[in-house]
Amino acid sequence: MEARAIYELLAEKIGDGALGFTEGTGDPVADVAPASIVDACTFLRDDERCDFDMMMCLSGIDWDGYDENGKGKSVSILGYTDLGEPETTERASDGDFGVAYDLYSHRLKHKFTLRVRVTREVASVPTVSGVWETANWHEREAWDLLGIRFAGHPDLRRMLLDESWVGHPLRKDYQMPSEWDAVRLSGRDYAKNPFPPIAPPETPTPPAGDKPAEG
Amino acid sequence: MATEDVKATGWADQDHVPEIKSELLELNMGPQHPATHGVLRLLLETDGEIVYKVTPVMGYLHRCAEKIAEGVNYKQWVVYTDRFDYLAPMCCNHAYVTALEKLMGQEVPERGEHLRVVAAELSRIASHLVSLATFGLDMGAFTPLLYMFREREEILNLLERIAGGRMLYNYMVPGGVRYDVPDDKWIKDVLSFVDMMETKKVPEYNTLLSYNKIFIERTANVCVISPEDAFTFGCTGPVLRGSGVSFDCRRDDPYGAYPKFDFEIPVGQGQMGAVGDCWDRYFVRMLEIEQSCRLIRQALETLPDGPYQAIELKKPVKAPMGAVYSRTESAKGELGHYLIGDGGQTAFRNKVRSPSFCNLQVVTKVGVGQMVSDLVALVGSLDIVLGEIDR
Amino acid sequence: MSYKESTTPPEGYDVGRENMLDFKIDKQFEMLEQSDSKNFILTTVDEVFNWAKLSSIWPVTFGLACCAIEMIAAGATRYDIDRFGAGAFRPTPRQADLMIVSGTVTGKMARRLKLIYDQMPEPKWVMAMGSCAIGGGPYFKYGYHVVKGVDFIVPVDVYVPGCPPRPEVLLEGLMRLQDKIRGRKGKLITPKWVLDYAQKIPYRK
Repeated sequence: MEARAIYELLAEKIGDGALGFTEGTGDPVADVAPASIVDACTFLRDDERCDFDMMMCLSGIDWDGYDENGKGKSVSILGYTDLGEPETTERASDGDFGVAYDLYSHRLKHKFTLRVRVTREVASVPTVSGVWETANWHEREAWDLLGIRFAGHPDLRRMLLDESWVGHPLRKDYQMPSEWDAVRLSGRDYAKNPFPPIAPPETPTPPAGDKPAEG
Repeated sequence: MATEDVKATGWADQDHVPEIKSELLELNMGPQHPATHGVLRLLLETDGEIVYKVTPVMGYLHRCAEKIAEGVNYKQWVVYTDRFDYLAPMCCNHAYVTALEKLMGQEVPERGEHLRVVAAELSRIASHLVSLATFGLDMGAFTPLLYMFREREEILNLLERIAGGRMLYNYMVPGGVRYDVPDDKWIKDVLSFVDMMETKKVPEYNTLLSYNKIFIERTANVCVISPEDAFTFGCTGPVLRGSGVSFDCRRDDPYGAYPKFDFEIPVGQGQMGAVGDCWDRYFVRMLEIEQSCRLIRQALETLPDGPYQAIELKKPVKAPMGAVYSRTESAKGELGHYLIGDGGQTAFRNKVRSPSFCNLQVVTKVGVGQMVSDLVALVGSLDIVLGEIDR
Repeated sequence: MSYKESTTPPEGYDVGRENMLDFKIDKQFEMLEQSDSKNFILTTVDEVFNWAKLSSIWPVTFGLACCAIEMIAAGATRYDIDRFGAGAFRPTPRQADLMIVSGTVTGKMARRLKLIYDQMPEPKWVMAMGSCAIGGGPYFKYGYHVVKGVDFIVPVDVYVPGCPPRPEVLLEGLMRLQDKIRGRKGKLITPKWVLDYAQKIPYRK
């Protein structure tokens, strides 16, 4: 089925929750209000004409600096300098967060893309992990890397980074850490000293009289 | 006196059950473990040998590739796609350039498409060989690894001659491939390798490993994944096909030159046990090697003349505003890219939907109630690559 | 003019190196076989111990990333690291002598890596394999989770460059490690071209 026809079915079902349908460069996209995303997904999975039994991908997006009408973005992300130190900026971040859902039906072999948008202050979307199991991990990853909360998620922990990690790296204003958990993450300044002496790390000292053999 | 003693310990009286405090044992598998295929950590809750809960913990190889995609330009990022699935780097290159060309609306010359198919399928064979070899290794068969790495070295030699690198190639560029075929001898060598693979090597592997009685005992009827589970957990690739579902992006969502070629999609038949057990997932890969050989032969025999690049190598690439989701069939399953362009030379957002990431999640359901040794078989048969899961 | 044709060795080349590659104990063995008595040899205890150590360097099975596949390839057919006595990959660090850090070390992995290193018994050696383990590699600029060099965490004996290094390079690194265990004398030489090259990189200024 064509994407526009699916969107019309969906708009009939969720009413005001359907915010619009855009076709242009790239895939056609249906914009949905965050409050009705679970209804929309459940409908798309269960309806005979849609039958989306698989969620291919769930992507969190930080729209900070994306100009809908302009020619390219104005924000360049921060990294480490050539000397290995984290870059800093004074810029204040703005812009919404978004989540894109890509669906596929094995039986009918058609695709559909849903997208929701929430403000930076709210940053919370209802979870669809009850609809497709695979959304569970994708949502955890989006929370980990972008800081989008998924309300009602059964197990919203960080996925790739550690629980004690500070910040959400895929945000456009994320500043690189120089250290985490006593592990140095900034680079070595090769320009000052190309081959610095390496201090041996602290190892437990063996009891006296039992010195290890020289390597 | 004696009877009283016996009663006190509870042996003589069946109704008397002594209160024994018992609890589940938490067991760590990984991140440094020979059977987890990298730096995966499985947090198990076990009662004896029976697993009650599996919690995969990953991120030990999180290399920030999606952040890098927002920092470097489109062409530079092809280098990082190599390092996702380092067993089949050509497939990852193919997935990314397909997504980028879909966003750009870029056409690729016929010769370029054919060379991409040859490179990707050779890479797929190499990946499956490693997968089968390490699966055998997990099941206690060391010898097949030596045989399968012998053929893998041949493939690496062939790819080195066309792409220049031994293992990670950076071969495909937006609009084509980086280098043409070095000479006609290369084509002959590939064709003879493919013939040798089909006629001699695959039967040899079958004798060595597939129909080995001990191997079948360890893998048949173990950790069955039903098609419903596979759908809802988003499993793709040999894991889904092992469950008896005939789905392949190369046929059902075609891209590149694949629609021109004739090939079959092997599915799990349940030859040794139930459909969707570890042996089926293993054997689907073996059958896919033959199909890849067919594809390579067709692509090389009908290799058209003409250009192989549509864009000059040194020219920077720009993509318009818009978002696409494009997917291809990697060696592990559906490798997708959600790519948002903003009109510049750098991606605004590039989310990678990696097959291993989704395939691994099925462990949390299927692994429950299995023995610890069967869990090793399950993880081995899923054929995960941690570079792709953590990205 | 190639290096072999030139009469003077290049700058920074250790002239006495060829003589140090072989053990005195090897010559003693030869003399023993040639002599009639076949009774005893004279050597030092250190030399015998070092000879034993370098002949059976057992690495720990510790694959991290892409380089791990090349490490397996070095252990499999065609390259066969067993020829140098280093083919017995041990699943546990407690039986291993050598840790090949094969791949990217991330912040989350760093503590585990240190733990595995501490569990290995003395004497132990570390080989940093690949650009990521040496200095962050391609993940230097935006790698917020990547440790820029494993030598921030554990001391490294041999650096094996490449992305990933070919198995031949890994074998070469193993032989340099054997040289080190042999107690090869000589100082750490920084080749002049490396210093010159570091000065020429434009963004360093």
